[in-house]
Amino acid sequence: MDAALRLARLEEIIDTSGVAASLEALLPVGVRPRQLSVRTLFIGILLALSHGRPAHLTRVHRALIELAEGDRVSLGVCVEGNGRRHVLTYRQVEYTFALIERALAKEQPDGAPSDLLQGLNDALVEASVPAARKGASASLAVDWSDHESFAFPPGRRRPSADPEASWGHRRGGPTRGDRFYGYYFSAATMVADEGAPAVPELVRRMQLSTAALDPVPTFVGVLEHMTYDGIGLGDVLCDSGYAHRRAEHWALRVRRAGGQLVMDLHPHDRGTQGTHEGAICWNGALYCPATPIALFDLEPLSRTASAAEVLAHDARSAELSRYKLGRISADDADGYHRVMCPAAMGKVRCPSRPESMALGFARPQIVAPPDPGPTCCTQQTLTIGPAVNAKTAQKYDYPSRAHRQSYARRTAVERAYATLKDPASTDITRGWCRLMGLCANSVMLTCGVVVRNLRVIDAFEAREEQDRRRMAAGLEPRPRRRRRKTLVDLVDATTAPP
Amino acid sequence: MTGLDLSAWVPRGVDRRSGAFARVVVARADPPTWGRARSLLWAASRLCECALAWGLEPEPSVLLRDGVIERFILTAAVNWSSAARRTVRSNLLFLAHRFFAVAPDPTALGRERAQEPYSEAELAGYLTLADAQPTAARRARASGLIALGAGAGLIGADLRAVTGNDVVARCGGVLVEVIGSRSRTVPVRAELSERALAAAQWADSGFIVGGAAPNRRNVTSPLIASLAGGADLPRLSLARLRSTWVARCAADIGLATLMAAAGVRCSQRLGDVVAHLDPGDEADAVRLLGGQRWTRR
Repeated sequence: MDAALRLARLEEIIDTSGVAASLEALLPVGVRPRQLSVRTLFIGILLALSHGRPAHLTRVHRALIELAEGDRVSLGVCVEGNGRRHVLTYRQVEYTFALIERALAKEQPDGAPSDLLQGLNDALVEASVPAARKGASASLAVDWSDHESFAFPPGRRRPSADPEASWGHRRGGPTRGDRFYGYYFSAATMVADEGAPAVPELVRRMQLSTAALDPVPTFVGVLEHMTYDGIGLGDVLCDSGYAHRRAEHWALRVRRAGGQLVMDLHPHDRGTQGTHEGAICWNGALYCPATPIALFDLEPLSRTASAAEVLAHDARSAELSRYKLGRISADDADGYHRVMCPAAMGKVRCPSRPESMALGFARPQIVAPPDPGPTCCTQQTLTIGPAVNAKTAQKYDYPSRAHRQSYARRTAVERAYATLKDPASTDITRGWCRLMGLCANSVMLTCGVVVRNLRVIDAFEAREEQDRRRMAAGLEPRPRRRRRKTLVDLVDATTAPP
Repeated sequence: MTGLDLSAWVPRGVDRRSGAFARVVVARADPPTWGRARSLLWAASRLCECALAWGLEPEPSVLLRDGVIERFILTAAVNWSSAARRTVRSNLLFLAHRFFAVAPDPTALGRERAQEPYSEAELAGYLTLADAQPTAARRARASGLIALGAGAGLIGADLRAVTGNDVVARCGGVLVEVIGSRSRTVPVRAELSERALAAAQWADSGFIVGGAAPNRRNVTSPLIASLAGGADLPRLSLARLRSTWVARCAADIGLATLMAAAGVRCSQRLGDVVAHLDPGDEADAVRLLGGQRWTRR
């Protein structure tokens, strides 16, 4: 891209976000005006990162002084006064950045970003999403990853140079192996709504918090703020790390914000979890008390499942859904909704409901309904409060074909992390940023996400343009390149005729 | 008790539990032959295999229910041939009946067979009786009843609704225009056509077999009672009159020869085949069904 165009684009993002003006107002004002403005500093950071450089202030300084002369003057990198020409020095960059850091920091650091810092993150990232793409999707894939501090971890006799960082785990599970010293980096990536055309997988929100803090309850506040800003939540896709948190720390708050959860359930949350009015609570839904017990053994498909296994699994989950108490109303303002007995809905034949026995034989028949029947068998409908299946309730039955297809969109957030950690582009692995503290790392990482978003938009638009050209020429859109080479592919390649 | 050793049966393509279930229920049914046992085992094992996918327990008291069997036939066996589905369902219902047997089997009732046709002599005797009736009206009605029954195969409502105007001479024969739910035109066999025409002329616009309203009941019974001719002639049967007509027409068109050649013993499939053929016009019917009164030289 042309350097002038690139600079104009970055300037537009900084101006649109409004962070420069609001931060400038927070900084101390001395007798002598500061040469490096907040706006110019952020442009310098974005310039350095967009050139694939690490987030070092020296690189920021170099990116600014390597600008064309006109741009240097307009941005205040070169100033003339008293007949002398002064070019920005590294110390000035470091000084302004330190002022910003102090303005954004909490008086008592607790590992979570201050409201100001999070506001800056949100504004910058949101400004990197083009206005035309903002409404393209309301679905978000959410996850957290590690962001290592450059500082050494604290030893027996010496403290760490980055006291806000702390020990965390890259992987969950019983082993909880691969520890790191640094921060948790949470991100919400835009994914296409179900049935809607593809959207660029842009990071819509991000947060950096110390690894000693649980990233889930801190990040859910960011999602709630999205709704306060008028950005509606659609599907929220997350893995079992989120689903396993206490309901009031994740699921209930997302539901209150209007999001619909599509999540993998933690093994501890799977299976029957008691009853409600006689109906069995299983994997976030309520089932008829006469449901065949063997159906509750259903587990999510393994990655290596064959086509036949997938078919059998789907048939079993479809069979189970026939026994589910069907939802007949949306959640009201208090989170209550109504569900109906599957026999009353005409999904199964049950002797307890004689009218259902007139239904066709293609439906399952309850062989031995409970006697005396519990409330769910004696009433047509039940009112279900938000406390029932609070942690596990979600948009689709788990595990089902619909859930699997919807949940497959979650990989977008993994791709977002992959692009951010890609050594060929914005490599945010340890050493990428050598600054210490949550504020400095958070600001740099936010700028890294902005640059990554711009790169994703460019690639997406180039692909759209290519597809348009191909369609104009009467060709099919080019399919995405298959990256996975199987054994069969390799054998065929070697046995192919020369 | 035949005491077949079912442990020799090896289930193929089904779960081990399905095989065990099949052995249990078939042993309870005690099939008389090994072939019968094998088909029962096959049906039971398939039912159990499907029920396991539905999450049901492989228990006879759960699986041998009408609802489960019918669902199996409707959903799992949907791609099988109709014959296979019928057989499997019969076998499963048999097993269920044996398993849940708490009452004796219902009494087997005989199936209705077609009535025996009248012989030439019997028909001649009835015709003589008809001609010997004391009044002209009864003579005409009795003669018309026999002519339409044995000559055109009409019985029941079709017969009661025929008026004198419905019997016409055309296409080289005498035709009866039948009205009602199965309206059609039937040629009267040549040997009875003159009687049919005479009865129609006498009845004019009235009903040939008597009565004043088309929905009248019990009209033919008094007429038939009057034809009871003593010990040598039994009471006249309209069903046998129709059988007489059918038998004569079948003989004319060589139906017995066709069925024997085709190896067909039941006419159901024959009906399915004939449904796609052109039935022909009135002239064809007159010619083929023995209604031609004269031949053109």
